[in-house]
Amino acid sequence: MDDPTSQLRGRARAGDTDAFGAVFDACARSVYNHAFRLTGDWSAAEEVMAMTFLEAWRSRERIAEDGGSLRPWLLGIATNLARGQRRAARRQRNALARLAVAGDLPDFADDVSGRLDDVARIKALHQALGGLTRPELEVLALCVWSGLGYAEAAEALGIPVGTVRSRLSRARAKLGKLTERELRRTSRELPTGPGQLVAGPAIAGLSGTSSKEARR
Amino acid sequence: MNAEHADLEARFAAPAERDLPPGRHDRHREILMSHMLTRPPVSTTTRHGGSRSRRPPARVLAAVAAAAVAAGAAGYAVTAAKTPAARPPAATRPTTSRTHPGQAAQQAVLAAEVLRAAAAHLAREGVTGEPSPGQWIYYKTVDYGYPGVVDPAGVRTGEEWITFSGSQTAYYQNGQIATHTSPIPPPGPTVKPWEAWNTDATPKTAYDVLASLPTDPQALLKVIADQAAGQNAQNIAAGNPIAGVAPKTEAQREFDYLTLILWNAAIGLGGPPAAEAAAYQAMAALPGITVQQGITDTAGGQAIGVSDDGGYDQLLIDPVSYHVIGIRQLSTGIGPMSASQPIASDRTTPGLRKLLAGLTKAERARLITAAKQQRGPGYPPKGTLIQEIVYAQTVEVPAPGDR
Repeated sequence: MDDPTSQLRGRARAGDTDAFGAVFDACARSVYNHAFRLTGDWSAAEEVMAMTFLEAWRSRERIAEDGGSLRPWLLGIATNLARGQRRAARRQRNALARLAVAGDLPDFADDVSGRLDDVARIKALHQALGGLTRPELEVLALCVWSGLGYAEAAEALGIPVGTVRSRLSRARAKLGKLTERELRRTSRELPTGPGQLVAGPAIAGLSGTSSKEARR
Repeated sequence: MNAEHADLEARFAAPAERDLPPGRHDRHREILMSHMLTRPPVSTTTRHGGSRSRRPPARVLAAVAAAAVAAGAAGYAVTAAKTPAARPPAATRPTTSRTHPGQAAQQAVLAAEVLRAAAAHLAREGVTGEPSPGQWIYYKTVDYGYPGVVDPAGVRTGEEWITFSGSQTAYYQNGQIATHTSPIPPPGPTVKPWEAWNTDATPKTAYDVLASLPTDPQALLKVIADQAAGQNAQNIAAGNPIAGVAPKTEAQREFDYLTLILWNAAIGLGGPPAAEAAAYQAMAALPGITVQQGITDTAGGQAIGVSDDGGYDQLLIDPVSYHVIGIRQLSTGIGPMSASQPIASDRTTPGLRKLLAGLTKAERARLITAAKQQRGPGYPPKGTLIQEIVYAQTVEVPAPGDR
């Protein structure tokens, strides 16, 4: 099925708020999950997602007139925002707490366990991928975890397609000898601290469903 | 997908995607829609790198200057240089303007010319050395507060000493000089200017940030825009998403951010002249900037007021040296805020935020006390001076107590 945001490109660029609302509906989930994979923190991911769309509105003039889905562009903005996210992690946790109170939103306790498992798993992945540079990790996150093609990742990051390829290639070369067993061991060695999980059964499922498969 | 891609996906599969927690999608959508409605589309031409208007003939400028001075003499100049749609929705802003058709454009031209003249003057000052971090600076302020609105009311003078690094301040307490050391350690030598500035606003960090800015106005504004965007993000992160989407144009945010840096640098005798000149040039390139000439400030000197909101909040510039000397706020005629609004949030007026961000602890406490007072029905008429802070004197001195 065609990405609905392809048809909204012109209207979004022109400042049509309904079109932007539709883009939000179509892409918020994807941006949210991409941000989580980069930050390892669901709260931070929610903040990045929210900021991404505010920034997208601000810079809507940069949307090219021709092109396909707006998702790569949004994921690129989220990638940039996520870079500065760790520094502000504490503030963001406070923000989410306040937002929940102010918005009188329902609890999502049923979901908490799974989300904590996700955090442990993504932290294990980050640990395992620690040898990658940040740009390499970002390309991996866009191409492998968010399912963008090389050209789309290039559009998202504002870099040539060849650079995407070479970064991904370098990433693979660096990770070449990393085996599933090593990944499991890395996950067990994760440090524990306040609010941090001990890697448990969830980590054992490192070959679990990927984001791309889940969307299909 | 090629084999390389597939291999990575197989070995490093991320957790399955999740929806936003219940209610959050709608909540964020609502915030986004609200944000978009308060900041509707403006011209789709790109300002950065876009074309600039040609310099008008000298005789036109003379006529424009005369008209603006006349407007200033009548009280104050409010213009509609920005589109009404780009203004905050009602609450603290007037819905009408005393500006006649064509006057807004004249104001904008005049503002650009004044700022460019200031920039040219500063650029001729040449290179001045940066003070050492431990250099003491004496500064004398003259404040004004409107009776019943700002407490304490009337004109007050104050004096204080501060090191260029901002690490130490000194002031009179019970007739004795008291010295205070900031709990925030000064940045190390390897810390970059923006990082240091974002950690603590001091004369030195403001100076260093100014010095680091590009001299090309559009390139400078691009840097400022990026930093201002970061500030918005921080506001959101600080737990106030509505304030984080404050109804301001991009140009206003950039102007406010530049003002904040210039104001903090001013206490340390200003930034490098060339950098200040570049900042003025950049301000001149912003749409909607207005100036008011012929102001007699609270300290009795002459000043030029530069504003991004039609004249309500002004940055005061010395008409001879062209250095920043103060800030002031004029009444909107409605009242800036209610006691229930958080003082340190973006729900306050832009001018008050600028004030708070640039002030010492004592000055800040004084203004917060004033601002928390509930406004009554007798709020001063539009255009009345509400508050003003002017640096009457700033000078390098050997030690606290010296002037």
